[in-house]
Amino acid sequence: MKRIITLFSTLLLLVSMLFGAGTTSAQDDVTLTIWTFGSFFTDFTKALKPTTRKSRPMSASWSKRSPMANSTTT
Amino acid sequence: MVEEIPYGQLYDNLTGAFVAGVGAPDIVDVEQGVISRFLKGEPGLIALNDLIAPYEDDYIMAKTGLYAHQGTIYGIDHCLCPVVLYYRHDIFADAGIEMPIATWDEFVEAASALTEQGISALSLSDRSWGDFYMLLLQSGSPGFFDAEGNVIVDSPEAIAVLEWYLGLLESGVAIAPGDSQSTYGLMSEGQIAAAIGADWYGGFIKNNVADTEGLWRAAPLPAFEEGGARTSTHGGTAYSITQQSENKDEAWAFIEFALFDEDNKIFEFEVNNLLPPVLSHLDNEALLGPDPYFDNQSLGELFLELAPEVPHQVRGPWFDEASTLVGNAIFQAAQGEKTAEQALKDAAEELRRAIDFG
Repeated sequence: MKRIITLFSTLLLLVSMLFGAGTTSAQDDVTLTIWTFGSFFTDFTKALKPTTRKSRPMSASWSKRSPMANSTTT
Repeated sequence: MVEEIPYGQLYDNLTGAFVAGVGAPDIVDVEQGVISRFLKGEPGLIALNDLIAPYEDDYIMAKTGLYAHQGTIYGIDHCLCPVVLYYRHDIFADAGIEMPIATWDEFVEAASALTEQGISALSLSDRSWGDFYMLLLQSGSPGFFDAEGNVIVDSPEAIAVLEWYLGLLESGVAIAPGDSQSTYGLMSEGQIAAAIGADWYGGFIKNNVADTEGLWRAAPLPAFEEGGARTSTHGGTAYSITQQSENKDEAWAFIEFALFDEDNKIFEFEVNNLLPPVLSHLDNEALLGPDPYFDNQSLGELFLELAPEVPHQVRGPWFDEASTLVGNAIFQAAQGEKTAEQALKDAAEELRRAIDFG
């Protein structure tokens, strides 16, 4: 039984390595941590999330300028 | 993940994270009044010179001086913060004063028509450094330090500006109400007819002296000499990237997105009234519209005109101490305890000792 568990764990590790699970790649989201003060800066910075300003082409702009199109702020 | 932290606590937390070597964010908003403490020793912030370089023809590089030390830039400002003269056009017109006025000498002469009526033409502080610093920069000085970081608090230019500044207070051309609420009260009553201030200060007047809507306008600062600079700069907050960040490329991409995308900067102006420090954004229609509070004047057109004249300045790691000492010097001189020259020489000596002591 112990050998079966060990084999299963090894297989899981191999699968993880092969498919990049748990590692960073260009496809991963990158969550930046930003410290700010005052509602005026917070409101501005929080708004810079592609999903929050649908009336403007933020997503396209972010994708255009950023090497990490999936980077997000909250 | 945006974390809003109260102003004082934010920088205590950042200091703690730098000391501990862990816990710092990727990006931090560094207000100009606190940057100097983070420039002592090995800064916990990364150099941004190479990153800002592609924008140096468009970004108003004078703003980087607030966040730089020995040529290394550690922050990119959200705002231009150009300084203008806000004035009550009804009071100036009633006194027969035509605006704008070209020089400070002419302004002082014209202000006598106001002082005769018991009205102060300006509000200036007699105990803090900000108003004096705006005027010192406008005069052509880089501020409290020269380009090599030497203390120039007691330079002949600084002494001359302070003597002139105190003369405004002594003659009644300017009044020092002591605190901002008293200032707004006197503005509302028409006892203070003008004030020097940055773009954001116009918003403060609008919010705090709401009952005078339509009675204010803005003009370039009178120059110290004919043809001299007609603006200064005051305030600012920069995005910085920490050394501890494991996502520095992404952090810069975000700053680039936030501060150089025109849509975003116009959006920021709508949110917090901060004028972008990017020349190509300043002629955006959204910034140039008439403002009913300011007699339907387009303040944006005025700021656009003055933007290229925003002066350079030198700050560095000892600016915090310098500004405190200069504030004390202004108070001592205004109280008559010392001459302007002696007060600034004493402040400069104390500052030099503090720097030598490290």
